[in-house]
Amino acid sequence: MRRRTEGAWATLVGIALVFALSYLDAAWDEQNIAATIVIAPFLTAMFTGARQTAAVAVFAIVAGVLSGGYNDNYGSDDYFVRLVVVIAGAAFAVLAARSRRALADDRHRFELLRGAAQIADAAVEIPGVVDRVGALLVPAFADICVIDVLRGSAVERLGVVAHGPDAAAVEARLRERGPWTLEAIRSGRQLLVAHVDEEHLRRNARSEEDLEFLRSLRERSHINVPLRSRGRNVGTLALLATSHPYRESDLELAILLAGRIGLALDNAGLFAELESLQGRLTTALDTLAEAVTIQHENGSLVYANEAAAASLGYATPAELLATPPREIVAAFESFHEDGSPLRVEELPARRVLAGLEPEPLLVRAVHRTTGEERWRIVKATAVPVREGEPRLAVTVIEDVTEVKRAELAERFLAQVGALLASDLDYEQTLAKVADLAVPRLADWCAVTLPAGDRLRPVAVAHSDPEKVAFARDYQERYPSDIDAPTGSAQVLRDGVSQLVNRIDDALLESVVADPEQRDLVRTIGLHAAMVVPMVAAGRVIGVITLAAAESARTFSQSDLELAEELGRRAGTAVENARLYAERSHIAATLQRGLLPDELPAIEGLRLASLYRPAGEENLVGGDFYDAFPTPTGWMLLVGDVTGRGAEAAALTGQARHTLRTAGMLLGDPDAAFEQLNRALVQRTELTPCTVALVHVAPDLRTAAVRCAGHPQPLLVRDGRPHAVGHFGPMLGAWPDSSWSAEAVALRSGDVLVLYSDGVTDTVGEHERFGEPRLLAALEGVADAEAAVAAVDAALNAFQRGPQADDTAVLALNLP
Amino acid sequence: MEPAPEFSVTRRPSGEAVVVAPVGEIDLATVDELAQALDAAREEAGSVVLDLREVTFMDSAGLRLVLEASLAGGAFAVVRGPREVQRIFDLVGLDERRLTMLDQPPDG
Repeated sequence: MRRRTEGAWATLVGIALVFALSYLDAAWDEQNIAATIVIAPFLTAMFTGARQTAAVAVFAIVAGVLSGGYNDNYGSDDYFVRLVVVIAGAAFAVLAARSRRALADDRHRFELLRGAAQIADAAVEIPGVVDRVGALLVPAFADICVIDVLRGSAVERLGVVAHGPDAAAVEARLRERGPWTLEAIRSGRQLLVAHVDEEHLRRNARSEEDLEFLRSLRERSHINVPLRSRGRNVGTLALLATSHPYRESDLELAILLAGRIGLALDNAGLFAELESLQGRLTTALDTLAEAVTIQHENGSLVYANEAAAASLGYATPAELLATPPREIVAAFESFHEDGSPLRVEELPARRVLAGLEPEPLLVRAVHRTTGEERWRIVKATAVPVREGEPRLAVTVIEDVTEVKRAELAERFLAQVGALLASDLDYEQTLAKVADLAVPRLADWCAVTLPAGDRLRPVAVAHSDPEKVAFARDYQERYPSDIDAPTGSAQVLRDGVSQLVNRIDDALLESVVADPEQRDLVRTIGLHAAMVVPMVAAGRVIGVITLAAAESARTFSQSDLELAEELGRRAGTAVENARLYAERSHIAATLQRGLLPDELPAIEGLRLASLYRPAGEENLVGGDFYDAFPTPTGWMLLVGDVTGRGAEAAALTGQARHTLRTAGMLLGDPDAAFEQLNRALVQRTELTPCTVALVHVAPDLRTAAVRCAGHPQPLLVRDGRPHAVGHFGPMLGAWPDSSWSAEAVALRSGDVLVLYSDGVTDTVGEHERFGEPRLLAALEGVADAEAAVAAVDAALNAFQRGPQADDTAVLALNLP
Repeated sequence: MEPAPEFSVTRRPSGEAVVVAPVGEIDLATVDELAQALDAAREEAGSVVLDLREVTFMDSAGLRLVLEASLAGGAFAVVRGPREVQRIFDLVGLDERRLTMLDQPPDG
């Protein structure tokens, strides 16, 4: 605060000069030099402020006024001109002093701000910042400076700087008083106390003794401003002045200074913490299971952790970092999930470095040398950098090979399962399975089944149709011998799958004897192959070959397991398809035997039939019906052979044909029964057969109804059904049987319904369908069609669960 | 067809004979169990009695089994079942001439 004394001296010198010049003027008679008094305020203005200059100016003007006395020119023009010059000069000197002082103040402020900015940029440790702030502000801007800062959630009195002889004691005492409260800091309050009075001191004193201490500081003026950084209040700066008061402009300067000091402290703190954070982060990254790399915008890797090195096939991160990036990428052939090749520019890190924000990318990478296949999720993000610094991209690579393989295997097997279940023509199915395996499992897939002394290729798949054509030609030209010692034939024989991950010339030579054939094989460029058996019911029924060529991939143990599972499923499906084909062939043949191709057209009679075969699994054979002309009218019958297995089913057809042949030849139902009974009884296996037979006279007026162990036919007359026919013994049980007929006179409108016990034995929710329900269903039916439809509808409504037994209904009516 | 859960077969000796007593419905789903019981009974004794009193239903598969037993030779008899079971015997002509029918098991 030297300025004040300098100003006082300059004022005194100025006033003395005024007196000196006035004396000279008075003493010098010949000359009037009154106007020279104006020199005094100008000189003062050069060295001091406006206030002091004004004081000298006042003296100069007074001297100018008085000069009229000793120059004896009061009232003259000369007097007024000289006075005006003095007044104007004095006023100008005051203005000049003021602007010169403002300039000096501004320079002073500027120096302070520049000093604060330098501290902020220096990025030194926190104690260094406090020392430098103290040196900058004390005593240039304050006599005492106190800095409180927020660290975590506590407030710390970071620095106290005073000057003067007892500075050390004052600093110690202020430090001891402790910091401001957290609330005060958080509130960011700014305060200017221009004149510190007794009341202010009392308000702030913590005790009488403290008050005494505050008084001893002789504080005149006080400023309190928040230290701010990045929008947060991080502390306070308190400034105490003892020699001069602070003004509004000082508060503004203090706010600006506090902003820079806050920044300086934040930088210092931040840098210190960042250093340790960086250390911790690096340690964390190093041990992370995910591979992490950091790539510079020039393409080079600046960081890689252990996992990254291992994942990319390097012994250590250092080794990886020393490898040129181009080489690292070139070691793998990379693909998208859909199998399309991946370009280097598509890698997330490249995109980040190009200023984009890429999505995570699923990549299938096949190592060009080892052929090993890995699935990776690659994510990249940009490291926030300041302007002018190089861009960095952090890449996190997660190896999802196991998950992906399991998922693909599951999806693949699900698709295979659906395929195998959907199509029952197994050759077609196998072709589709082979297509499904390419290219996700291999580049090539071939399915081979044994056929005589050869292996018959039933399916070949490759994504390129030309190559498929080539393979077909090859297979035709060089059919595989079923006795070949190696390869597919060997797998077919012993059922043990084979895996070769290096197909080289030596291996080809040992497997393919013919040099021409070998050359042809070589053009395919086979790299690796798996041959797995197709197994059904413990038997090897064929082989599946999966080969890698252009993809250069190798097969892992889990690939082999997947292929073996494929073999098992395909084998079972083929066997099922074969069985089904066999069975449906039998069923179709039998069906032809059981039922007439179509019911004959009988003049004057209307016929209708219903046949509901039992579920596939109960191929018991059983019900049959027939209607045919005889020499003595028409025979209509429904029968049922009880027995098990395909043989019994075949007998059903025989039973119908025996009855038809005997009936047509002999025209006698009893003779037909006897014929069939004899045939069945002669069989070693008991084959009981029941038949209901209606013999209609040529004039359609009468019908003879016989039952051989069979439920009686129902005659619906006037809409009311009742049973008709004589019971006789079943066929196939006893050799000495005989039968008799009930003669029924037919009327117009009569409906006669023959049925098998499958109808009445049908299982419902609680009980069997039974005869009463059948009678109820037929109530009111008017013709054969209606009768059949009524029975069908009633059974459909009643039946629960699968059908256990065949059901046959034959109805006739007289219109 | 859902298997009849309530079906069961018991065997008990009765003098010279073994009485096989099925309970429930005899049809395709249960006939094998009854056949096994009859085979076992034949091995245990010279004569077998099939007690049909607790049988609620019998289809052609059951009938075939009874017929087979009656034709197989050896001493075989049935104890008459309810009317609806008895009716199937009438239907196919399996009458007293061809099959010994009792009202009660020998020990009952």
